[in-house]
Amino acid sequence: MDIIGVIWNIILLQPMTNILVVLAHFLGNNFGLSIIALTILINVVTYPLTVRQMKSAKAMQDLQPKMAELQRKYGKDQATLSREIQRLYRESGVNPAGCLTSMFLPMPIWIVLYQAIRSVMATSPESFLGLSSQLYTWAVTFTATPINTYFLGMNMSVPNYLLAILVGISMWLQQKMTAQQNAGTPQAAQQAQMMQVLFPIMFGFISLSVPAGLAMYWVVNSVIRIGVQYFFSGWGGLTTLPQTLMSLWPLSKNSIWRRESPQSKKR
Amino acid sequence: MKKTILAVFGVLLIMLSALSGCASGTAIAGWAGITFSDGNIFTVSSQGQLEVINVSDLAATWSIDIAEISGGGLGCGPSTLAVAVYGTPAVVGDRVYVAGYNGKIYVYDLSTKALVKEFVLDEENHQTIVGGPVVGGGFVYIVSTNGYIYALNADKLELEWKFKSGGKIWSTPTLVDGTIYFSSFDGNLYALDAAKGDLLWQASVGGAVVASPVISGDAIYAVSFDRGIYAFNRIDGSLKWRFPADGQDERPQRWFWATPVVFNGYLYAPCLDGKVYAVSTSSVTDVIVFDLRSPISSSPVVCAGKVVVATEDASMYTIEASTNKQELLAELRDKEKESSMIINSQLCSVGNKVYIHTLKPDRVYAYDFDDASWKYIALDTLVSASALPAGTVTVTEYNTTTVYIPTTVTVTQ
Repeated sequence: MDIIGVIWNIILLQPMTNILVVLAHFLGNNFGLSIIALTILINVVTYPLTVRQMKSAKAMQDLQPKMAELQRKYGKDQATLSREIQRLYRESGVNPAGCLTSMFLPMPIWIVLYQAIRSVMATSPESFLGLSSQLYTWAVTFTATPINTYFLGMNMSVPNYLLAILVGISMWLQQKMTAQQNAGTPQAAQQAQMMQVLFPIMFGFISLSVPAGLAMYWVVNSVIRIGVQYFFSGWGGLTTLPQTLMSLWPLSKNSIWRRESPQSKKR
Repeated sequence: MKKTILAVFGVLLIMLSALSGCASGTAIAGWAGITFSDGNIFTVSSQGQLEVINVSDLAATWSIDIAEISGGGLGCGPSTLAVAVYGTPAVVGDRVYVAGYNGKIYVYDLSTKALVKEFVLDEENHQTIVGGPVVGGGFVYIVSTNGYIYALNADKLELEWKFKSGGKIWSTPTLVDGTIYFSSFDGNLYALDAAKGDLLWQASVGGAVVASPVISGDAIYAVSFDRGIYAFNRIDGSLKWRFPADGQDERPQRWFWATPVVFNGYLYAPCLDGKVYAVSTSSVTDVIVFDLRSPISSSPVVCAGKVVVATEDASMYTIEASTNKQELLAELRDKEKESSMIINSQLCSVGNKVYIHTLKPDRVYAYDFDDASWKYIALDTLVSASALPAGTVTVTEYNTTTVYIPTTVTVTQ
């Protein structure tokens, strides 16, 4: 194993694996509850990053009118536009990379969590032997393994369609919540809309090929993020959700509700 | 904007491939053990081939593919998948029984060198099979990850009875005197009437068990994931002793995986902590610990009056409790060329020879204690065909550099 692999293993994978096992032990050998508890724990640890990302996003949103103005003024001169945008960022104290950095920093955590879930699930004899080498020599890790892979009737070690759908829905809701705040120029709005759809679809698709435990992490994580986002800046784009859903409803224009409305008005 | 979208797609696709296992993941290749019958040894290679090898010259007699058709996953998988096999094949008369990790049983005829029958063990509750088949008394006994042990009629291969335990069963059962013994992930050791499947007794072993139970005299021994070694009375399942007993300082640091062996009044239990715990069968306080410095998942054998143990890093040792002596027989791994060679399969002893199935590369080694010589046959270069042309098999003399290390034995009284 190369040096990076060893460091990754010792600093991230082994602690994460053992935390999962210990949590499962104290939560009645329940792996689903263990994943939920670990997700909450990870969110508590990465809370400063989350807040930083939200603040960056908010700052970017506040700059959108000025950005649109610059776009209108220097749109034909890309060099000047770029210079002016940089100046605007500098003067406003906004780092556009800050938003992305905070977004991509949790990725190693996802990857290591995925590896830890696979490791703890250990369905094949090879992976069981691999798990043995990951466990600390605490008495609790031996009594806790092998862990019951079932949670609410779902096997956490294999892909699950319901959780994949929930991943898509929860991520879409999370994206939708933040999307309107980021909308500025029509181009940016279009881009945000595209991302709003692409991300949930892709993650839903990925969930169909990974253990359900990881999908469970994504669902719980999205729900927590929605909660944090709500306390930070309200429902955001979700305030328009009922209207959006109504417009998508096939009978909305000729619905009973619509037809009955005038009658009820007469009454 | 197009660039951004493409970049996002790119990142997500890389994640998708990395997560779904196309780019990485634990390969499932199996590690079938070796069994001997009528001048031949039988095993299954990691390429899913049943190999029949003549012991006199270590040449392949015949070889046949064990494969199944699969659509693959997300376009990454091949259309034909080699079947992984973890258990040792069973050979009785003209028949070879192989239990595949895919949950199927394969039966071959030795005289025609052809498949007799291939079937899913349990259509309704289809799960993987890790333990090997056991044949005796007109039955074939097979255990499954679904928690059942099945008894099939050895001729018709039809179900006679089945019994459900509280967890996965990966341990190959042990059949003695009309009783079938096996352990389960539910932390219990079971004894069933081999003909009827009635439960005779069950006893707790503290944790999940992968190793087979070992019987010697009136005792039955089991090793567990709780890092304990248990001795029971095999008639009624009453506990004789447990190692480590209360107050004993010597404690295994990892799971027991391999099946132990009894020799000269000691039970030799290899552990994934790299040590072999030799516990006197008559007194749990008489324990000798041999430190082999690499995890041991391969079940040892007794050969030429010695206990032969293989570590995962492909080092071969002989150990003997009566003399407190351990010797490094050979390091099969060429550290430059074959740094990933491992041994997980159970060893096989025939006369004064011991046979070892290694992985990465996939080989069968033979060590002859009479003239201290090594030979091996490379399974990954064998021609897969029902009619194997003579002379195409690679048999290479293996000149091992035997390095002896000082004996380091810890004695705990």
